[in-house]
Amino acid sequence: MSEIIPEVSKDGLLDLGKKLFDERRVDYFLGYKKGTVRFKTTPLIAGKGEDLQELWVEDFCHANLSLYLKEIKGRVGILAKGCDSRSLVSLIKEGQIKREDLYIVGIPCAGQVDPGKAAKAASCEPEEMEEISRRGQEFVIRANGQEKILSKTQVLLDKCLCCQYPRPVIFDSLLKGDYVAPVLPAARAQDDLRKKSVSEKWAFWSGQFERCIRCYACRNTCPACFCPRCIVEENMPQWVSPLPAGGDNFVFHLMRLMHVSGTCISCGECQRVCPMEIPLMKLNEKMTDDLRELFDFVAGVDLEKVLPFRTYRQEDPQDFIR
Amino acid sequence: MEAKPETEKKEKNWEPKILAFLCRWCSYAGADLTGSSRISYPANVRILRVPCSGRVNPLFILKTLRSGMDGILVSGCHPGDCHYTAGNYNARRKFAILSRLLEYVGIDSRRVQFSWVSASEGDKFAKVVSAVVADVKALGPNELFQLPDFGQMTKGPASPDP
Amino acid sequence: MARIGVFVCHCGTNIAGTVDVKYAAEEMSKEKGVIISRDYKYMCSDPGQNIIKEYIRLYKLDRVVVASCSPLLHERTFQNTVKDEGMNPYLMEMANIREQCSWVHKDRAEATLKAIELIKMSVAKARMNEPLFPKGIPVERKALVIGGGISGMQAALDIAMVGHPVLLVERSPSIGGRMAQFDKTFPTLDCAACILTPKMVDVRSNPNIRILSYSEVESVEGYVGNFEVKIRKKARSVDMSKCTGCGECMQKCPSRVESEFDLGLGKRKAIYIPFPQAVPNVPVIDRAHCRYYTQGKCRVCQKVCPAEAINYEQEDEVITEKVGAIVAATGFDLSDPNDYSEYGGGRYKDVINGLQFERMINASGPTEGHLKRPSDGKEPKTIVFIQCVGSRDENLGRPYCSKMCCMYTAKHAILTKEHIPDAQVYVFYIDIRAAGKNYEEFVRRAIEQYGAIYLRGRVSRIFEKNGKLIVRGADTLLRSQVEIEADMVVLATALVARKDAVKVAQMLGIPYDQNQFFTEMHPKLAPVENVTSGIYLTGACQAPKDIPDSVASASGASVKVCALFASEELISDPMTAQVNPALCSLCRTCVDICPFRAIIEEEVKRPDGQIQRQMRVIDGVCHGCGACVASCRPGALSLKGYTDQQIFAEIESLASSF
Repeated sequence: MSEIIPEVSKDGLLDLGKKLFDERRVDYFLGYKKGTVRFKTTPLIAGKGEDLQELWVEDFCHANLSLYLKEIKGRVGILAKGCDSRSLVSLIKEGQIKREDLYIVGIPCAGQVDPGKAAKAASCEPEEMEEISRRGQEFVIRANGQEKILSKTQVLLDKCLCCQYPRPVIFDSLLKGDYVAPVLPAARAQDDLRKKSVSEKWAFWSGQFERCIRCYACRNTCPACFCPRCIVEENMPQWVSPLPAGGDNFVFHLMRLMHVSGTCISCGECQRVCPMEIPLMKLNEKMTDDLRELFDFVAGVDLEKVLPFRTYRQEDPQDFIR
Repeated sequence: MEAKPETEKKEKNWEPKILAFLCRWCSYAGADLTGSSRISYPANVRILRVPCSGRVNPLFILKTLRSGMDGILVSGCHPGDCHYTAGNYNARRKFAILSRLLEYVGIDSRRVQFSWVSASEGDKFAKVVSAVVADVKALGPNELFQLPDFGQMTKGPASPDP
Repeated sequence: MARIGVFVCHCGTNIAGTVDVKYAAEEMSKEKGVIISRDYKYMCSDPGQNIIKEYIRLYKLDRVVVASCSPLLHERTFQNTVKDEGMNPYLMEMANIREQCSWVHKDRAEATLKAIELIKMSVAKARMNEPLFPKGIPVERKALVIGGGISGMQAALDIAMVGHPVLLVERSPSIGGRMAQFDKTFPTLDCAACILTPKMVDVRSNPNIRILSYSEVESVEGYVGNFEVKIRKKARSVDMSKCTGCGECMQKCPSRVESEFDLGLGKRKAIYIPFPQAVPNVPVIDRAHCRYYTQGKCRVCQKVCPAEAINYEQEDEVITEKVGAIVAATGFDLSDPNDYSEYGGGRYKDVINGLQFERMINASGPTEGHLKRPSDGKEPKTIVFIQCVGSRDENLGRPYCSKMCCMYTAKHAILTKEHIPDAQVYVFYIDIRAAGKNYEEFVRRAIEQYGAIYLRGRVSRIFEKNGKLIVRGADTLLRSQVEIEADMVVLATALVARKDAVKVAQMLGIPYDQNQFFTEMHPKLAPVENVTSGIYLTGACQAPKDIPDSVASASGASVKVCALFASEELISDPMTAQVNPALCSLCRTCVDICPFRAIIEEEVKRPDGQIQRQMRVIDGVCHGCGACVASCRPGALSLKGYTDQQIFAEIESLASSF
């Protein structure tokens, strides 16, 4: 089946945005713009065509813009990387946004840079890095006047190294470019933790969650966490103590994971924003694999399939039940 | 005090405490039948009645573990027999995921168990309880969440305000 | 601050023999909020209940905890006790220290400790109990019956007899259903039309029944007691108020079309009634085959109609009706015999199915009651009947038995012999299922009195040779192969759900099984009800059924409808779910999960004039399972009587006794 893909060039993107505003097809346009911090971008919330001058679609577009749809209601134009597009599908399935309210422009992504990881690989401090640029399939880090060449594996976010959806699964237009996963083959990195014993796993995770400071950055940045009020903030009844004690931290994260399961598409933002560098993606990936294995479900790719916990099959697995 | 029970005279031999969520239509009635049939089982279980196994939020299980309970049992109607037609099917999916998650974070899945017990399965209920108690006893007391505090925050003020 | 009274029952020695009830009562008096705690020999006895009432008065109690036997036994008893004293019955909790404690443990110390913890759990829960009040929802005392076959008609008659108005919607031009296609009925060999037509006339003349024939239900909105139904009255092209049923139009119509009623064995006109005794006796123009509609010619019917009843401009009309209950009586179809290529796969004209046989042998059928081979019109002398064609077949995904075929095949055998006394009749069977009243005797008549030859075995192949049908099968009782030269073969095909059964089920919001039969509320104890309140099932749409069972199920469904209509208001169990819209994210997980369709979305006007979308639980429909509550992530839903607070209180009371 031949598919007519409405492509738009980078220059055309600005015109497209302006056209969307002129034709009153959008009230807002969400994109990225350069902020004040190096190697990061900040969300651009354009309310009119002229605001789009600042639009930036080069490197460092980490953020999953679908997050802002929690606050920005109405008709919205939005840029979406492959991973982000799956959030949009999830949110549509969860009744949080309507497909017809969105104008989605898919953008190519050659993997997102993890500045902390790059600095470590370049044996320098993050503040010492002056420039991170691409050279072919490699990266050039300029720090302290010296240049270091690093591979993609050393620079890109872990989640990008096992990217399975480089091309948006839902879009109205596609920005011209290559939609290829940054690292091939698509075989994902194995999580060694899964092979460890129960007590080793416990030691690992309790060590991790001890360090959690309950900043809730993970929850706040997660598009799947769209509840008007989080149960953590409830005290009648109290689901979990808000104090950052190890046991309660553990419970909070398990509770959040159970709540986002089926909606989480492993965009990896939770792990990226965690100030304590807790490897939350390990939990998300495990959950994702279990959902696929047990219920043949993958989040964020199918607008028709019922979400896993809203349905059931007679033959659902029950070998764990007496 | 008139009648002094032997509870205080008993040795401090650790016995696991198990909370069982039983659905009112099948498992709770099945547990009643165990009683009517005078079948004995270990006294470690405390039963919490719910209308349907579908009422049991997996987060209850997390909260119960956090509270220090040594073991948890959730029991409902056999698939196809739910009084509300589908509650146990919904529960089954959530518990499947929860089980795997608990195992992955290092909580032995023998601490949290599930069963289908119908209203006529008085003897099965006794067997299930015995098996769960034995499993949990072998795992030892639930000391999972007694982790070191992060700073002094949870300890509160050193002395009451003047 | 709650004022709780705790009452610990001895139950003779049933509890007191193992549990130190006095000690338990003493320990409970130390609990926060417990004003008074005592034990008594038999709490459920009159004096026992009077103690509870007295203490409610004396100590101004607002919560009561009875520690005794199972609540499944005496919850209602003690609820009534406290209700008598003016306390809301839902403020009473029971701790099961008998079936789940004293009867299952032997060690006194262990049992007492456990009993105390169980009572503490109940006290903790009771503290969080709130008074609950059953609500009433209004009921529209009008029923809709979908399907005008024997089941639908019986249901309509029964409901109408009690005095409630009934809308009977039938898709085809006439009511009557499958029975109108039959010749005689087993086991009495009553003529189907003779017992059916009086019923049809009863339906027509009953002032409480409004027949909407040639109509279909298009949509069903709402909930029990308050359904809003859209019905499409298809255009007959004949004005029903003018037509006298004289039949001139049908006489003169030049178009001949294959008759659906006769299953391809005969023809009808483009303007037609499906059978002579049709109710209503008003024809319908089949626009797809009418020369006026297809070519703009003819118009003979209009010219000859003495009542000027033909109206070519007539259009479909969609009407909206409000009803309180819906009875599904949509009936069945037969499976395709061409599923079996070894039986000819449709190639052989003389291989027909059971219903076609009925049409042939029916005196008002396409052959005027004569058995004729469809290929050459000759009278068949050797007829082979094959049972279980399409039923009991795992390979086709149809493992079930169609229930009627053994009986109607025996009937066909008898009728064949009656029409053609020197005919040879063979029946290939696997089992004979003749479980009804006088059924077994009927089958034996076919064999012993009428001489039908019953061969226990399957037919592997049918093929044509020199104008005859060679039927090759097995006789397992004689352990031999059998080959019969037959003139005609009749296949007892499977009874299957209608092609659009799933669409109908989804429209009604009711579940269906893997064979697309509508699912009953409980296979043994509630065969005519449905999990969706207000929808009832009757006839073959629920499962294969013969006429007596269909009529019985119709009357069963009717009484359920009448019970619903017995009062103007439906009093609901108050332990239902409720939504706090402030916390709701409108994700609709609850809507997808609820098996009863009890949660709806509404538009509500806020005080500031803005329109807001909100979810609401319909009390009368909610069964109180709590599956929605457990799946509601922000905690917007709560289940009255089993709130998260109540459950947590029970969990925490246990945790604190470490």
